[in-house]
Amino acid sequence: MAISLRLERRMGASLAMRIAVPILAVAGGLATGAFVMALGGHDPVEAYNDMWQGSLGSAEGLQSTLIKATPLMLTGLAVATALRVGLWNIGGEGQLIVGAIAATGVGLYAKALPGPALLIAMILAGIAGGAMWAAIAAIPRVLIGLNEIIVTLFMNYIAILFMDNLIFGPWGDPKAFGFAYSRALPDNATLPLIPGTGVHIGLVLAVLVAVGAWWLMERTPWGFSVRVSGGNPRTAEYLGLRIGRRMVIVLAISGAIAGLAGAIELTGVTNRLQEGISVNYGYTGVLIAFLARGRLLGVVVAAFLFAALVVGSYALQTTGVAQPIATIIQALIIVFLLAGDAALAFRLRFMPNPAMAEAVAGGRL
Amino acid sequence: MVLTNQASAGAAPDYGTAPDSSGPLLEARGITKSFGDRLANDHVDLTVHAGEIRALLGENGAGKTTLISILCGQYRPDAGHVAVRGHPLAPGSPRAALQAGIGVVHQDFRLVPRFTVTENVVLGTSARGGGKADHDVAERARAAGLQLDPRAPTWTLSVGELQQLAILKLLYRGLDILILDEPTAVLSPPQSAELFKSMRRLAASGKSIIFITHRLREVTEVADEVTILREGRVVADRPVRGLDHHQMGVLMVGEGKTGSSLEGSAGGAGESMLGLHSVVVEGRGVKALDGVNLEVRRTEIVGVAGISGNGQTALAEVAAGIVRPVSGQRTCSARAVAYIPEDRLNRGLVGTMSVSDNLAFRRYGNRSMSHPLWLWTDRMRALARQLIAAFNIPTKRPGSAVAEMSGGGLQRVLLARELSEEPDLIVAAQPTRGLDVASAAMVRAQLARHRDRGAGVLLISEDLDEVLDLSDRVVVIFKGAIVAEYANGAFNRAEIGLRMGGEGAA
Amino acid sequence: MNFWVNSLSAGIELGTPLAYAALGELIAERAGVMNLGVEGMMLMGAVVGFIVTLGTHSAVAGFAAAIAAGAALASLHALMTIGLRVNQIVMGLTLTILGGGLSAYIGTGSSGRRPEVNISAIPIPGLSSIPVLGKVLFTHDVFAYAVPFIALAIWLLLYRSKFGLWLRATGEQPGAADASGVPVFLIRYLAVIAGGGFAGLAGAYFSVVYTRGWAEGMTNGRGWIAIALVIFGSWNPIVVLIGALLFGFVDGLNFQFQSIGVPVSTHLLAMMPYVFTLVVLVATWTRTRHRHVGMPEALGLPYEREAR
Repeated sequence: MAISLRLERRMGASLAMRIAVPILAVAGGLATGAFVMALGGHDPVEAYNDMWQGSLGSAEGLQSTLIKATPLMLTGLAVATALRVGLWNIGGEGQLIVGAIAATGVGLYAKALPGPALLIAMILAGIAGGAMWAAIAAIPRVLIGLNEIIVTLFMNYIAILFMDNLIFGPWGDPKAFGFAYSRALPDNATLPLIPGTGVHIGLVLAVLVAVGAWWLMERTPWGFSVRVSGGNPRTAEYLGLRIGRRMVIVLAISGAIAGLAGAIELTGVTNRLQEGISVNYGYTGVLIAFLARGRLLGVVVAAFLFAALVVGSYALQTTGVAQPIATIIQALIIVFLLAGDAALAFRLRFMPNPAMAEAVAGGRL
Repeated sequence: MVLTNQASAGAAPDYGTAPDSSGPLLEARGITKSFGDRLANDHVDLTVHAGEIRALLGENGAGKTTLISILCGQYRPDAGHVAVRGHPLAPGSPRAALQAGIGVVHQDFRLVPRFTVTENVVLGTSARGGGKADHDVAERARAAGLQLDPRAPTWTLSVGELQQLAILKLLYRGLDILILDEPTAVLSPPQSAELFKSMRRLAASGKSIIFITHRLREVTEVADEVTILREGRVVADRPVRGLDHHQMGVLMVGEGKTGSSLEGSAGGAGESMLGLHSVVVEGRGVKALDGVNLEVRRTEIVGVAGISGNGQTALAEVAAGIVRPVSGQRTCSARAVAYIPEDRLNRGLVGTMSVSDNLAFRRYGNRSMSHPLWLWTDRMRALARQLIAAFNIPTKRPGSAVAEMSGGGLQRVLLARELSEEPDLIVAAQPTRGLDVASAAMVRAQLARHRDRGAGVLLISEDLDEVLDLSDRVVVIFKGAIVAEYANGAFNRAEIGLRMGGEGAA
Repeated sequence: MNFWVNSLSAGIELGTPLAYAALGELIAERAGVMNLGVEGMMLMGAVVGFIVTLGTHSAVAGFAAAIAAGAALASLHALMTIGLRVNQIVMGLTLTILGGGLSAYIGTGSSGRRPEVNISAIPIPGLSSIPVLGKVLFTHDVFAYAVPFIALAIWLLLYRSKFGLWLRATGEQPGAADASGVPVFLIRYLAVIAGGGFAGLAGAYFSVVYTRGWAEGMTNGRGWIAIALVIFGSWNPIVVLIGALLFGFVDGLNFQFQSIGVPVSTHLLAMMPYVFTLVVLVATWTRTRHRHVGMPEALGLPYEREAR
C-alpha cells in the first residue's frame, strides 16, 4: 500500500503544543549542537553545564545575561515597532552605531556639562542619531517605493565605516596604538547601576521603552491607525490615512530605539566608542522580534532568553570550546524554533491512499 | 512523463489501453474534503460521459469549487477517488490530472500577466515559446474561432480575451474533459450565448464539459445533465430535460428558502446626494472612466449594469471619494458616505486585525472610543458585540482575526461598519458576489431599507438580475462610459443585455 | 592614465565574485525565493574551497567542493522556506549566522596558510597587448573571462528555454504555473540550490584566487552587496553583471587612491561603493519601475497548493 506524506494547514494549535514545541525546538538545537561538539572532541555535557552556569545558573551569570539582554531587547523592539507599519528594519545595527557615535560626540565635545546633564544629553543625542539614520532610510521607500530592506542594510555598512573613520582618526585614543577605540569618556558619562546589583539602569530603560512602545502602538488611536496602515495599505488609503508619513515617523521611532541601545551600550558597558560596540545586535533583533511573533512585550522575554544563550556561549569559550561553535548552536536553535513554528502551523499527515496505490501498481507514477 | 507536445497536441493522450467507449469518461466516487471543521464535500459522486455537457449547480459555498479543485489535482480529497476512462487518477497532482486529460478554466484564469499569449498557452508543455510556438498557437486559435494575438502581453487583454486564452490553453493540450468555473460571470448575455455555442461545438466533437454556475437560466440553455450540490452533498443528479427553474431553485437552496422579492421604492427620489459631471479617471495610462455623468438622489437605488472590467471599480472609487477624477467634477452633499468595496478583504478590511478592530475603523478616533492618548478597547469590543448581534456576524469572539472568516462573514463585517452610521449615500460594488444565499438576501434587504430611510444608493453589480430586481433606475456602463439609462418600469432585459456588450442603438 | 587602467582592471577582478554571487541570487529570486543568506553561503564556499584546495592541491576540486558547500547550505534554506514555508527574510538572516559560525569553525587553524595552486591571470595573446583596453579586459583569470558568458547563458536560459519559462512562471504566478502542470516546488528547490552553488563559487574565488588565504568573515559583507545588485540590475542577468563590475570598479578605486597616496581616510574610501550603489539605486528607481522590470511578483511569498 502506498503511503503519502503531506503538510496540511492546522486550524489552531492547542496550548500544550504551543508550549511544548518551542521547548522541544530548543532541545533539538542543543542536541544538534552537542553532536557538533562531540565531533570536535569536546564533552557536550560539561559544555552545557558551563553554559548554564555562565548564563542563568549563577548570580554572576544572570547579571551578565541581563546586561546582554538590554541592547537585544531594544533592537528587537526597534524591529517589532517598524513591523507595525509593515516595514522590515534590517538597519538596527547601523542605527545603534550612529546612536553611539552621536552620544560619543556629545561626551567628547560637551564635557563641561555638569553631573547627570552630560549623561542625559548623550542619551538624547543617541536617540536623535538613530532616529535620523532610520528616517533617511524611510524616505526613498515612501517617495519612490525603493525596498527598505536594502536601504537599511546598506546604511549599516556606511555607519560602521563612518565609525571606523572616527575611531582610527579624529576621535582615536592616541594611546591605543592602532587599537580600534576612541578616547575615554568623562566619568560622569557612565550609567549608574541598579542599586544592589551590577546591572546598569539601561535595563530599566529598555523595559520602559517596551511598555511605552506597546502603549503607543496598541493603546493609542494613532498606533491603531499605524497598524491599519501596516496591515493593509489599500484599506488605509481608503480610510484616508497618510501611510507615507506614518512610515517615516514609525521608522524614526524604530531607529530612535536602536539609537538608544547604542547610547546605553556606550555609557553602560564600553565607555568608549569602539569597534564591536554592536555584536550583530541589529540582525539579532530581527530574529528576536520574529521569535516573539512581533509582540512588543513578547520581545522582552525573547531578548532575555536569547541573551542567556549568547552569554552562555561566551562561557563555553572559557572552557575551551571554540567561539564559532557557540554561534553555530545559536543558529541551530533558531532553525529549530523556525521549524517548530511551521509545526504549529501545519501538521504532517501520513495517509494510506488506495487510489495512489493503484496508480503505482498500474505503472502510471 | 512527457506532456502532450506540439506535434501530438490535439490528439487524445495515449493511455496504454484503448479508450473504453461504453463507460464514463470521468468518474468521481465518494469525494470527501473538509477544511477545519467545515465539510466542503461530503461523499460527492460525479459521472461524466464523452460528448456531454454537465452543469454543476449550487449556490456559493455549496462545494462546487472544492470539487473541481479536487478533479484537477489542486486539492487532495480526504476520501474518495477519481477515475478517468476507468484508470484511477493520482490525487493531489495537477500534472497527473492534465495528463489524464482534465483541464480547468478557473474563475481567475490562472495566467501569468507578464507572459505573452503564446507563453501562457504553452506553459507546462514541452514548448518554450518563440516564433514557432507563436505560429502554432495562432493556428490553433484560428481553428477554434478565437481572435487572439499570440504575441500580445497577457496583461493587455480584456476579461473576455483572458477567458478565450484560458480555453485555448486547454485546447492546445488536446484535453478532453473541460471544466469551466462560472465562465459567464464576466460575459455579456450575447457573449455568453456565443460561449454556449462553442461549448456545444466542443461537446459534439466528443469532449466532455463540466460547466459550473449558479444561474438556473444557463443550465436549461446549454446543459444536458445537471448535478446539484447543496452544503457539500449531491442533492440531484439527472437530465436537465423535464426540470423547471422552480424545481432546480428549490433543490439548490432547499425548501422554503427561496428568495423573496423586494418592494420598490416607497416615494419618489429626493434631493441630489452625489453628482458626477464629465468625470474622467485614468489607470495604467488608460482611461478607466471616460466622461461619466451620473446622479444619485435621496430615496433611490441607481443600478449600474455592465460586464466586469468596463470601469466599475473606478466608478465605485470615484463615487466613494477615494479616487480623484483627472478631469470633471464630483459633487457630494451627503454627510456620511458608506462604501462597500468589491474586493472586501483587500480594500476595506485588515485581515490580520480582529473583528472588533475592523468594526471600529471609522470610529476609533471619536470621543466615545478614545482619547488621543488612550484607546478604550473595551468600548470597541462592546460596539463589536452589538454589531455582531445586529448583523449576524458569524464569529464567536470579537477578538478573532478577520482573515479567518468566510466571504459572507467578511461582507457582514463591512456592512455592519459602513451602514451602522446611517449614511446618506451608499456606494455598493458587487455587494453579493461570492456570498451564500442568506448573506446575499441580507445585503439586498439592507440596501432597500436604507434607501427607504432616505439614503441614496449606487449599486454596481455584474449580476443583471440583481440590478433589475433592486434598482429604481438603471444605467449601463460600457468601456468607461454610461451608454444607456432606463427609468423604473422601463427595464428591458434583452435590450440592457445588448447594451452591456456595446451593441444596440446609441 | 595608468591610474585609470589599474582601477578598471581591479574593478573587473573585484566585480567578478560579486557577479557570480549576484547571478546565483538572481536565479533563486526569479523562482520567487529571496535568500538573504548569501554572505553565509559565500563564507562556507570560501572556507571549504580553501581547505580542499590545500589538501588536494587541485583548484578544480576546491571549487567543486565550494559549490557543493554553498548548495548544501542553500538546500537548508530551501527546505525551510519552500517545504516548511518559514519566513524567507528571517531564515536568510539565520543562514548568514549559521554560515558565519560553521565557516569559522571549519577554518580554525587554516588561517595563515597559503594554497600551492595559483590561478593566475592568463593574458590573452595578442588581445592583451592592445593599448589600454588590453590591460583592462584581457589580463584576467579564467573566472573573469567566463562571467560574461555565464550571464548570457542565464539570460538565454530565462528567456529562450522551456525551463526558463517554467522558472519565470514559478516566480511570477506559482498558482498559474502549478495549474499548468509545472513542477513548482521542484523548480524552486533547484533554483535556490543552484543559487547557493554560485555563492559558494564566489566565496572560493575570494579565498583561493583573490586573497589566497582564509580569514574569519573574510567576505566582509560582499554577500549583502550581491543581493542589492540583483535589485540594482532589476533581475536582468546582463544588467546585474554590469552593476557588479561597476561596484567592483568603485571598490577598487580605494586601493588605487591609497597606492597613489590620496590623503583621504581608507574608511571613507571604503564607504564609497555603498554610497555609490545607494545613490544610483535612488536616482534610477521610480515608483513604477519595478512593474516594468523583472521583479518577480511572487518574490518572498511561500506557495501553498491548498491555500484558499
